[in-house]
Amino acid sequence: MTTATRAPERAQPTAKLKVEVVTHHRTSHDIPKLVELLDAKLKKIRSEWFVGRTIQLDDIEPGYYIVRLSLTSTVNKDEVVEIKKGKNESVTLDISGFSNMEVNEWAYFSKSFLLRDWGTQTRGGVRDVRLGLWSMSDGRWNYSYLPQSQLRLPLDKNGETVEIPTGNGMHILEVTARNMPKRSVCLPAGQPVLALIRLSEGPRDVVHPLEIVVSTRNWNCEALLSLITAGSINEARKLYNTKEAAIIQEVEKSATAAAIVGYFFLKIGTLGYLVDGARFMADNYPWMPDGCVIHAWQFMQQEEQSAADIALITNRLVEAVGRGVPFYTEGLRLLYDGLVKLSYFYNKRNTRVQRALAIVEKYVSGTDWSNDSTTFSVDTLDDHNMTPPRERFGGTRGRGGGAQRVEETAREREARQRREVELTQFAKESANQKLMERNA
Amino acid sequence: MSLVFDQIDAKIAQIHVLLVGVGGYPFLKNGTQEQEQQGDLAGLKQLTSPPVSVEELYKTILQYHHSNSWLTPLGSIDVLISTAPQGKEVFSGKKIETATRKNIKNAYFRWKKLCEEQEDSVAIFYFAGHGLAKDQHYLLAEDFGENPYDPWEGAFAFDHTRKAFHKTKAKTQVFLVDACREVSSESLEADVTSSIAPFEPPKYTGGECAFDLTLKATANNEKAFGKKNEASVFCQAIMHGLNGKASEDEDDGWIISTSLLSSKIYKLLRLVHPKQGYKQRCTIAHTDNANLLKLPNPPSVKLTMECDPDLALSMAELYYEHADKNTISGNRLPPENTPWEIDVEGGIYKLGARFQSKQFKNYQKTRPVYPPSLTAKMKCQ
Repeated sequence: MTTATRAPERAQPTAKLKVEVVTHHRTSHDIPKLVELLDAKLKKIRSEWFVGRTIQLDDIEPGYYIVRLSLTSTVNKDEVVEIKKGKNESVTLDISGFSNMEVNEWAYFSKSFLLRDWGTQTRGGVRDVRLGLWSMSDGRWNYSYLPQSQLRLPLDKNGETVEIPTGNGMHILEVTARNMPKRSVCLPAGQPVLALIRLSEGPRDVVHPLEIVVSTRNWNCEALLSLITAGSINEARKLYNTKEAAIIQEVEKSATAAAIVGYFFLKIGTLGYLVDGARFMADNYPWMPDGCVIHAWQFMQQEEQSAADIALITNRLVEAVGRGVPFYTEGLRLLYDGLVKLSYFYNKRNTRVQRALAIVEKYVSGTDWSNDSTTFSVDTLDDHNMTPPRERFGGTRGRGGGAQRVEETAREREARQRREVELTQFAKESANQKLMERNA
Repeated sequence: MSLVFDQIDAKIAQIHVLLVGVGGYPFLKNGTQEQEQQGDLAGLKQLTSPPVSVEELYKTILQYHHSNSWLTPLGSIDVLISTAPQGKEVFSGKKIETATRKNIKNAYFRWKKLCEEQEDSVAIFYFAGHGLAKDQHYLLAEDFGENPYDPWEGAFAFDHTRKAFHKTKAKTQVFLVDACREVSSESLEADVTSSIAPFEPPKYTGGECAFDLTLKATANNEKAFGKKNEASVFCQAIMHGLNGKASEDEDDGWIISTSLLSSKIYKLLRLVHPKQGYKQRCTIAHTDNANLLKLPNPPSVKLTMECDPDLALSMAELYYEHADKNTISGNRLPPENTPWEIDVEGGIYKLGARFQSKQFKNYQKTRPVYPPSLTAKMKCQ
């Protein structure tokens, strides 16, 4: 007896597609990139986050495809590739041209830039740019000039990258130039920070003449931050799921990376490992306002709060103001929103909350919300005793690039002392409240 | 009440929309009952764009109701309009309430009540009109300036009102604010803005809603932008987004979500006006992503075909052909002197230029035509 067997249906032979990315700077390969494969009707066939130079996509059926490479800076590069039956293909995506200078690539790949020529809107180069660093320790702001040697002038729209070492603490980079408002950016702590300073692109009377973006080399967390700032929450979620191990590694070595992940979890409404992490951040990084903000919002997100919760939230938000300004714009937004809610809750009669809110409102009114690191025009913050030394141009500078304090004016000293008293008061009140809470 | 769309069913999750367009300010410059305003406020004029923006947005929302594209069914659209003396008539034949502070406040609470019924409901709020910013954003109703000694009686504190709304049961909340955020320097000095109240104070308990998109048309110190009697740039950008230019393929359909509207807003703005899409243009606040619409077909893409050198344009036959669908193709015969602008279905296309004379080279390249737009240059030399 013979049995007729039906020949198994042969699947269409598939192929492999190798995607190679060309960049100039070696560190650019460490920046996460999203590769997507779309068919001729733009249907998404694959979508993967990866780091490195190449990625291979397997089991691709014959047809026309778009290979789309996206970076968190909103840069895209597309190529069309035709896959023939069983024939492996490769495609090279050269993104090295996005930045005119290889040392600036990190910013053009990982931070939100708009790469378009504004033609007549483009400004001339700026020659007299000066960099200063405000550092907070023990509730005091200290100012120092930064070495200018890294900054090649005049500054143009391509910009210059400078590397700024920061210890564990609150640091604000202040950039000054003649005939323009100062520009200040919070610097992530605990490691060398990359800062790109360039001429802005955008309408002259609306956009600050200088654009400053900063980043650590925690590229996965920085990518997460760029995505959540842009509102690309689904992509942020995919990135986190794909790169969770690498992200946790970055969190373990950097407090500010931990803060980024904290904000991500708050955005998606899941506390994840932050159940203990938020308190840990707030308690163990006493120089970081963001830990307090995240810890407070962890409790604010609950449907109901006990009296102890409300005390904790109040203390944490007030404490955050005492520590300085949240490193990240999202933190400043949450700090402000939280204090507004508290202000209404206490019928505007809680002096600590009202004082904290008054300080934060001044930051808020001068903030550039499009940046992921807290960025503001410091001219609006003179009351906060962040006034720099008297001689801003051609004044005393540290030899060999070292920082050196110069004389304050009497008015500046008075303002600083007033601010110091305020901050010390905040710190004391917060500590007392915490102590009372623990004793209770 | 001016419910221009009413299919309210409290038993199911629905989309509830409140649209406010304030173009007519009778007590401001060139208004029907003009009063002499103090300081910088004397410069505030009539606006023709906001009512048009509201009507256009209303039509877009309704269009997707008729095509069953909203992922949550449409329940209601409430509209308040104040038209400037020179403004175009909108919603003709419909009885629409004017956008005084009192009317807006009443409409706000009616709308909020609807949004309290189901947690899967979607709340959409759009305001177009004058605004001023200091520590927060203040929006000006029709009766702003009625009393020049306290003009702020006709304004409300948007940011605090927004914060209060987070506590509403509907988990998806979309707030679109199409108003200036210029700071009036004299008002800033006088600090009068502290007396402007929100419609309700922010609640202490509970954080932000699960799916928030609060999108403001302008950054601090900036004017909103709109042409006379046309929808504003921001409103057009939002409509482009809803029309699919902010969509992505997902689950056998083209999804428009809060996240995509937010992350693509600058591209959408540039699509409307090339110089309005700079980085600081909008202020965006958001939480997790919510899908709003699902379109059955790939979105259309604005394709612009040009020649390099420009001189070749007048002699070129320009053509496009979909790589997968032979039925989608087209050409333009010479002589034409301007770039060819067409709306095509997104996809992979062969784009090219052919010449009768040998002065220029024929050119063809297979290119991705991806939303929202593509400008393709044919290299003919």
